[in-house]
Amino acid sequence: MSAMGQSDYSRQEAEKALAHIDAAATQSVQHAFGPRWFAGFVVLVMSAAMSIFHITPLWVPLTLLALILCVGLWIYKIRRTVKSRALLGQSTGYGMWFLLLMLIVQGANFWQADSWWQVVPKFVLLVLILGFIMSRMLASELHWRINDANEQAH
Amino acid sequence: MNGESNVARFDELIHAPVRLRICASLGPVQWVEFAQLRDTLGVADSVLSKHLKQLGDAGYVSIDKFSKLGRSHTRVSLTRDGRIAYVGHVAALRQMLESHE
Repeated sequence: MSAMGQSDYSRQEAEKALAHIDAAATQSVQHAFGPRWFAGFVVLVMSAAMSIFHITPLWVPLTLLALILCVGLWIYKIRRTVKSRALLGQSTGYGMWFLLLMLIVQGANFWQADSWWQVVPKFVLLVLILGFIMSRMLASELHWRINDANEQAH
Repeated sequence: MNGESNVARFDELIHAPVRLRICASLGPVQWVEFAQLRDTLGVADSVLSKHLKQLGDAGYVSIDKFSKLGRSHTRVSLTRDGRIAYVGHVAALRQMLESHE
């Protein structure tokens, strides 16, 4: 456990060790995010709720959004086997993507799909855009959390 | 990122492959269930227990056992000393890479 041992290791060994660290930390953070299907589920349900907002009674999209809350709570309370570490700062990348997500959600309200043939393209477009933004948000958060874990001992 | 600066310090105990992966898995989380950690690392219970005991003896990890809704749980987490040692070890590995360039 001393600096003496350090010189015994080659560059390749250090690279290999850092690769192991990156792989294990990535897997750990991804698991802490929750099941992979949940992000897809959120995108699908959000897109569906926003697409049918102007064509169905209000309780239908609200029920869909409540479904996200129920499934999220179920994962949090029952299936949680790992708890993420609190971060000192916030990821700028995550914040920017989240802001864009909010803008898209607000902007989508201007497209009033008031017939079923308009609902389908709106739904498909929202799934693609929200899916892309969600994946970027998660990637930024993953990168930030791994950096924090490997560099900050708070 | 804010926070204290960490001194690069190579740690032979952490550097063993399984223990390195244990520390890397525990780094980004507050705690993880034993079974989850075992599945993530793809090792047997006995192997994980052995390495956790070595890390625990050095004061690097803490293991909490408790019961909830009739089921027993074992949570593993890095201690403050363990986190400092792990971050120092990662910094030492990065320094080694830089010094070879």
